[in-house]
Amino acid sequence: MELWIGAITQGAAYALLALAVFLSFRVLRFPDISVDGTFTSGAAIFGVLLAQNLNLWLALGVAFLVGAVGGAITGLIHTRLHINDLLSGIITMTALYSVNLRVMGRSNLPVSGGELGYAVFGIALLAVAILWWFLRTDYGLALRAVGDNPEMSAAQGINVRNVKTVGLSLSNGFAALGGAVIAQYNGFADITMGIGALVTGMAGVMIGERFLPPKSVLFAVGGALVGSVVFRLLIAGALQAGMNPIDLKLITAGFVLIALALPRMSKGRAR
Amino acid sequence: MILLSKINQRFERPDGGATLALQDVSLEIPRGEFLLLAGTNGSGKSTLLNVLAGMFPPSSGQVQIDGIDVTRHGPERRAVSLARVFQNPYLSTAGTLTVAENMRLAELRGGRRILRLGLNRSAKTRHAEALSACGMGLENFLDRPTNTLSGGQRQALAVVMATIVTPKVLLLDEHTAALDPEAAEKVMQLTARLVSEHAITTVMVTHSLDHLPRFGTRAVLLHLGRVQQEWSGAEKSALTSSELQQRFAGLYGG
Repeated sequence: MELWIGAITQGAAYALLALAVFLSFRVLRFPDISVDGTFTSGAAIFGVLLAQNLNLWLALGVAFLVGAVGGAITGLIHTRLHINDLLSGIITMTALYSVNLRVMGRSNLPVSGGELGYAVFGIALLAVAILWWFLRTDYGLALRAVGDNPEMSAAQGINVRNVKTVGLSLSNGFAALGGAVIAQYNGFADITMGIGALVTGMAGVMIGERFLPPKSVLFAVGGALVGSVVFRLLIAGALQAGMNPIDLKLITAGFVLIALALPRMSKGRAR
Repeated sequence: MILLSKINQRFERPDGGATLALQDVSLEIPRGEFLLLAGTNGSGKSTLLNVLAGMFPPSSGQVQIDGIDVTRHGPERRAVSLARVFQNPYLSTAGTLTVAENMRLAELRGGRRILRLGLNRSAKTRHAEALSACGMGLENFLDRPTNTLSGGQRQALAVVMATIVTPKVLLLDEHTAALDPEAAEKVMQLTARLVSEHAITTVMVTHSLDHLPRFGTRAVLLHLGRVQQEWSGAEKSALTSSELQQRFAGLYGG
């Protein structure tokens, strides 16, 4: 039983990462790999601040902000220096590796002090609620329009470059928050914990789309939460059945590949 | 009023040469005029529309809207006074957003977009009214994503969106060219009605010869980047399709 409760709790924590990926990959249609860096950044800064006896919630807030800065950097590289989307993220992710090591001072940092417990669910639900609201505001509509149709958005007077940068910033804020919460759950932050964050987030988003078809903003956002929880339950089940944890990323990548390829194969050459 | 003075547009080609897409094009479009831009492929009509829309600054020349030099303004800045309907129905609206959400986007064209749930009940009522006035049943699809609509419905929506806040200038980029004849006719009728109701200064690119006598208050024929011919309202209305076909056939030959 404990195993399953643990999986659900982890799912709620990873939902923050899935929401981040939902924002960049689905809403902005920007495969933003900077989350592989900012996920760790969030954990790193959170761990360091807790060690300094900073308030738990304040530390989470700072983690969010640090991630947001990382995302903004990717956004600026892409929109101001005209570097393509994937490469912009790779540059930020690579740079953050050193930054994260500097912050932590070593490659693995124990994270203790404060206890989130079931508050993880509160954080995840709050994040869903905030995004549900945000994406329906006038600014949120502009953000969705930019991802959907940048040319038309510009013709509506939307500053496409700024809106994209804000969206990526927000996305990476959530990713860093996810990293911090996961570090708290695991009891440590590790320099490699962000590897595969984008793909892990995508898995959550895509499973969520199976359960809650994204017909409305609420379903789309809620799907990230549901998908993450289901994904963690699947992993727990697989580990229970004897899967070697070493193979986790291989299986996750394979799963996301299939989920990405299937709709394209069934559509053939249409579009 | 729109003033285009001595617009030149060069495009560098990969082979090192350059194409002159527009050569010394000067046009004065008075307030309330509905101007048709006609021409064959490569005549420069789309390039001219893009220059008007601010997609790229011309190589030389000046664009003025109501006395303000907007030559260097991009589409985002021009949106305050300028609305545009794209040729491709997939491009003219945001497909994953609902009809109501698209209307809300358009209602704020060129304005501030803040963290506010602007698409509330009263906004939806407003949008439903505006859409029902165009008589295409779009008011029944307020909560449907626009990518579930037909091309004709989308272009009709795009025309309503472009005129929901009366723009100083409306640009129509062959916006019925991708539609079947019946839908194209409906969208053209709607366009003509909204343009005249609000007396909007309009520039419409068209390659449909039968639009020339039927729509607009003046027409300009572009050929190889130059203004080849102009027809005032009366001359334009008198044009017959055989005359026009001969005129266009001559251009291909030359």
